[in-house]
Amino acid sequence: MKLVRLLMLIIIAAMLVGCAATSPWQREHLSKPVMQFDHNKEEAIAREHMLGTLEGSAGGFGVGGGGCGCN
Amino acid sequence: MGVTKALGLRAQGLKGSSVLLMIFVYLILPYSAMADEYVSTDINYYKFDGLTVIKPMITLNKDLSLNTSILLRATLDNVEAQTTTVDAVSGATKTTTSTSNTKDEDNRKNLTFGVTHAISLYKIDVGYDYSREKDYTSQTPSIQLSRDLFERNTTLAIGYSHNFDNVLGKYMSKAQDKGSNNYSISLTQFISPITVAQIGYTYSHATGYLGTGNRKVALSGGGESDEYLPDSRKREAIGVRLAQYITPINSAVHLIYRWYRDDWWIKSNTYGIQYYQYIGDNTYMRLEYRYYEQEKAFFYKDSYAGSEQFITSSNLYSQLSSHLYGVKLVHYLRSPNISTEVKYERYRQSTGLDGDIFMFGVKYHF
Repeated sequence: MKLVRLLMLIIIAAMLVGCAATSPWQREHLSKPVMQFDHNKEEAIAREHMLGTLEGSAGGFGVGGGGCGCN
Repeated sequence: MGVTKALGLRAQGLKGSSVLLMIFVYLILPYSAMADEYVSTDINYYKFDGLTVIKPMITLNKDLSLNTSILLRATLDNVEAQTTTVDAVSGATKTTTSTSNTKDEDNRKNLTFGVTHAISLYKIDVGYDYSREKDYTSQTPSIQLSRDLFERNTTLAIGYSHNFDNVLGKYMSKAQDKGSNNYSISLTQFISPITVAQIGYTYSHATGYLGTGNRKVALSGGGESDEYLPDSRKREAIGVRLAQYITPINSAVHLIYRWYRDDWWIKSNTYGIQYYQYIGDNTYMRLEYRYYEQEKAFFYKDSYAGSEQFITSSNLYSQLSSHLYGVKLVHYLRSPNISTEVKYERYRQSTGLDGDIFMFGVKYHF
């Protein structure tokens, strides 16, 4: 798990560095569905809701949806 | 008189339905292309120990003008649960005792309405979410502001929502309120033409009645008690995601990590990996693994004497870990512009809880 955390720190560091600008004509792969975070928003909402009823944590991305009497 | 009244009502009804039809036709007509315009329907099916959920969703996302789009979503959760009137506190295993078994059925109806408006590099999303079930109602207005920076290589977003909830569980004599302020900030960054990363932070503070009112706790000396939870909970989480395209084999990998803690002393780590592989031009597959671990809340115990300030029988607040394995297949048709997807996931928790998740979705892109 330490390796994963180290990898995440590297990602954050790469983001903070500023990175080389990517021109619009270089974004062919970035625009593909497989490169989108939560490409299917409905799937992401359903999953977050389900996991919120099974586990004690939530959040990390977005402001969250409506409440539920299931947890 | 009666006939006139009846005809009047019928005429009014016809007028109302005509207006609705006109609105619907207007909404599905092609207009401009600010948002990803679509109508989608998804059906999720969860089968866990003693719990079955069927969850159909229908969503419309449509441009109203060059700069404005709307979102309408309706969701139904049909929940059928095998419940016990008394749950003994469970530890590492789901050692529950019951005095009687009953079958509870509930329908959670959820409606979401959202408007997105873009002004130059800014985008503002305003939403309202309403959900109702027999023992719970919730209303959540939300707002999110995002801005593209550095030639649209970076997107910064901040958001706020507030939950106005009302709880009336079967063991409660009167309804009680629960409120929550939720804040978020996220940064999405193109790192290279084949790499994108995102970091997000969320903070929420919930106050009021934070239980469900549907749980009893068996006491070690015999008898049972209502569940008592603290009336305030502050939660924060940091999420990091990275997507990397692998050009030679036409695939992508997503790495996901989330750190979480709250003032009930629950701390958790979530690790995820998703592998996407194109199979031809119009189909791709996703393989996924997610691992989750959490520490228990400060008040969680395997058994209670009954003199404690806070007591619970819910595994949500126990120490636990879980594994989720999944496979998803997505196929695109070009004409008409429809995508279909089918998903299967297996969820296993260290408490002994496990279940299967199925999803089928169809999306029509305008």
